[in-house]
Amino acid sequence: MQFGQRVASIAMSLLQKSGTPIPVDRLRAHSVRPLDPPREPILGALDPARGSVKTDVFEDPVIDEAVDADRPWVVVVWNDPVNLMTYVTWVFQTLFGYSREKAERLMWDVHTKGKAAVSGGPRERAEADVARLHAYGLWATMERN
Amino acid sequence: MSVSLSDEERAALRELAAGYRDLLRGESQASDPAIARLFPPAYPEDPLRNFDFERGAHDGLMDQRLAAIEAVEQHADADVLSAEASRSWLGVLNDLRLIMGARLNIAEDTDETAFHGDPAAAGAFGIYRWLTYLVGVLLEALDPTLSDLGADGPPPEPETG
Repeated sequence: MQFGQRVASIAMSLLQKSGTPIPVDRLRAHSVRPLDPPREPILGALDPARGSVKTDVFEDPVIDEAVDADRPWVVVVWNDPVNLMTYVTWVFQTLFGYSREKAERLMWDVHTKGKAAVSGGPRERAEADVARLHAYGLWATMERN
Repeated sequence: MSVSLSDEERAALRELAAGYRDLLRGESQASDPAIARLFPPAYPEDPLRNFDFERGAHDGLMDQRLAAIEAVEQHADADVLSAEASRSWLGVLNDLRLIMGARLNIAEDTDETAFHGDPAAAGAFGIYRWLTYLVGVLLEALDPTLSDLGADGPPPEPETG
């Protein structure tokens, strides 16, 4: 087959999902956990036999957020089998203005340890960094320090 | 930077860019691992927070990707690329590698032997390799010192304690 024809069929196949199952570890970051089962207070509230109606059923989870508001977020880049080491280093330098030395050290951490904390700060800033890393095709998530 | 690609290679880039756009604009993306790789979750453990993140970030990210594809198509016949255009090329070529990596289940040690007996996949892997080569060439043009990287392996861990 000619190179051009081959590319045309490849370009078409970009649209097709692979029939091969994706390894479980690839799906790890995309899995959505089921919500926690209802806790006792909810059962108590709905079941008269279990006691009086509770008023704290809809306890506001924002309370946790307020207590933790000062804990900074960390932006984590994960190793992946496609992005080149040179590309990852170049992205760290270009995106964050890091020196070659720092960018290269972070890249090696990603490559050999599976992940590296590359930036961090308040939630909004960390989210912005994650989005910028996604724009460059890096696999970035964020977590609490 | 100057670009020396054959007409056939330029046509291939246009085909791939158009295929990539169709993928981005396609339906039922939620279950597609290639789309999941291009738009990963910021909060993999927290679906509610991640929903908010995606609501804020997804459209901007999509617009950037579509704009980069358009830039590649505009400059597909160019003999000289501006720094800005070459970054668009780099982004699109790398995204194509990510898509094909997801389609072909590519791992760090995947080579052509993984696709014996499957000519279509072997052909796709050849294109993947070609894209990898182009990404390397583009990076080296953007920053010649990058070619030195990795020859000696990771630097030793700093002494602690």
